[in-house]
Amino acid sequence: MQTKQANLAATIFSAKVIYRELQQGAVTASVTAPILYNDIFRLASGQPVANTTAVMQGINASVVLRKQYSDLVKYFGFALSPILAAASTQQTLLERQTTDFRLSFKRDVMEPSQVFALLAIFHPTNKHQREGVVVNVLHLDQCLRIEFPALIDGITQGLFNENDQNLQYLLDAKSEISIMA
Amino acid sequence: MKVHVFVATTKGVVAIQKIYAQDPDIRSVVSLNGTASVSPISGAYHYFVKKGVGIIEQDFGSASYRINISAAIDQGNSWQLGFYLAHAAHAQNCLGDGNPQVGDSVVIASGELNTSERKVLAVAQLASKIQQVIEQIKEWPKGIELQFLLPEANSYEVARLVQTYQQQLQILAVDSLQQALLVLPASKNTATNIELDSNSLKPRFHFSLPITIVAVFVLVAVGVGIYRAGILNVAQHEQLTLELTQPEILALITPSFERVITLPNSDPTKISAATSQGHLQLAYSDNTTCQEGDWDYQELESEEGVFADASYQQLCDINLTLILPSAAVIAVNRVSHRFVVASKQAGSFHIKVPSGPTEYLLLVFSQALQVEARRTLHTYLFDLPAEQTISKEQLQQFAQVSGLNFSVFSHRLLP
Repeated sequence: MQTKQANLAATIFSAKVIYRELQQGAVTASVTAPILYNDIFRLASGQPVANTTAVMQGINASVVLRKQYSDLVKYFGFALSPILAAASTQQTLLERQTTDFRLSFKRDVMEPSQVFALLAIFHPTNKHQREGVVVNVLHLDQCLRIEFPALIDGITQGLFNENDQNLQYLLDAKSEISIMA
Repeated sequence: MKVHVFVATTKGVVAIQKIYAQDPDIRSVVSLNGTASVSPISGAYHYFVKKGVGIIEQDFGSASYRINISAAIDQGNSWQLGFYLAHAAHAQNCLGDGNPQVGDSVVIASGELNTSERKVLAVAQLASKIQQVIEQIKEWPKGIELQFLLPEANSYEVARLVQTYQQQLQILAVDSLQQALLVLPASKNTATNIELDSNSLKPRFHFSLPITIVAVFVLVAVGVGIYRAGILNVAQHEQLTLELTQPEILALITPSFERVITLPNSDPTKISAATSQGHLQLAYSDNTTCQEGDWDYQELESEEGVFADASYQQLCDINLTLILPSAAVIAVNRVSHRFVVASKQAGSFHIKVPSGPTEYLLLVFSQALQVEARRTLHTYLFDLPAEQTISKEQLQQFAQVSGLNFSVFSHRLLP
């Protein structure tokens, strides 16, 4: 009798362990879903991808994927502003200018905690004018992908809260900024 | 008193909370509740502001604005009329924040604008938007002046709906920005701050009389708080585009019988003899205000062109129905000689309740008024001596002399 109960208990215990492992496996699987190279390719080339946020999270979680992504960004990039030598001061907002674009920043006059990022592209593509502009920011060990609306009169803009990571990386002199075609 | 401007959408009314000029390097933007969340219509708004394409910069000065709205507007252009009115209210320093309080004015609008001609164009799904407005009204406190502006081109399709809700909301059909602007309080600031491009609003017909005397100008009548709910539908008539500049128009705004409302022009037709028998329906409120309480009706039949005297107390509405088809009705104050043009709705004519007890004459035309005929009548009335009380016989005599054909009814509203 006692043996039978012990076996039953053991069986139940084993079943619970297996069930728990299956549950954890499902959770793990949803967080670390495999990132397809095709998704990395499409994102880096400025094309839309389903669940962009999850894919970028996956890229940033992997050194290998991040390297692949940054290489593709460099390959497909329309214009590039490399890491700057001088760091910005706290009082001024860093402006970047190349022969292809200018990225500047202005605070809202009534909401000083909100900042406009103004991106002027001097020789834009049709895609920039019709669909918008994708900006990739490579900062240390992070890749950010920021979408701006279509150009109007050669300029597009985004509005960010001051503490928005996207804005912080755009402002950071240590960021490498690529405008995608 | 603040003017709260709302845009009517199929998902509810959207409040315009704040407007301010931006650094001209920044593109005009529409943001949600003042957050960094930008509306998809920001690009369209930029063009609406931009000089040469839009009208905001041209009329209000700055090349870049930020507008904060209370909820998303994702697509379409029917927000344009509301946005323009909000800019005008902002220029008059009376724009509210979307939270109306007792004593405030609320303007809800839906209309796309032809920015070159300053016309209000038809929009889609207006019935649905009106329904949303009615729901929203329930959330607001009483004691608020409510006005809903819709394009004149849409008024036919929603006429039945409008009649259903006319006690809750004053609904105005507008054809032009000039008409729409009458919902806003006139002020010196308005006259000086809104600088209009003189090429866009050229005076076409200029009175020699001083502006202090009520002159003829073309605008849809807008209740200025003292008029009760009811559609003021000028949509069934073409608009007389008597174009004055913005400051002149606003300087001429006066309430009630002292404001001239013109009928839009219809197709050119001759003026012929009008009807001879009429039915007058007077609506009285059993409460202190017309917006509250129920209405009781008094029906009057004309006898030889005369309606029996009626009381002015708690009068909320005047409707004239004629036996024979009629195209236009003008109500003339016998003492002041000022006049209003009645709006035609569903076979009857809605006459604005005057600001006080008065004697008035109703001129009934069987065919639509041409511009010249209207001007002839206007000139005659204004040239009358100020102290003279005009009579039926005088107007009938004028009709014979001028070649205008209309029948005349008289009525008195007693204290």
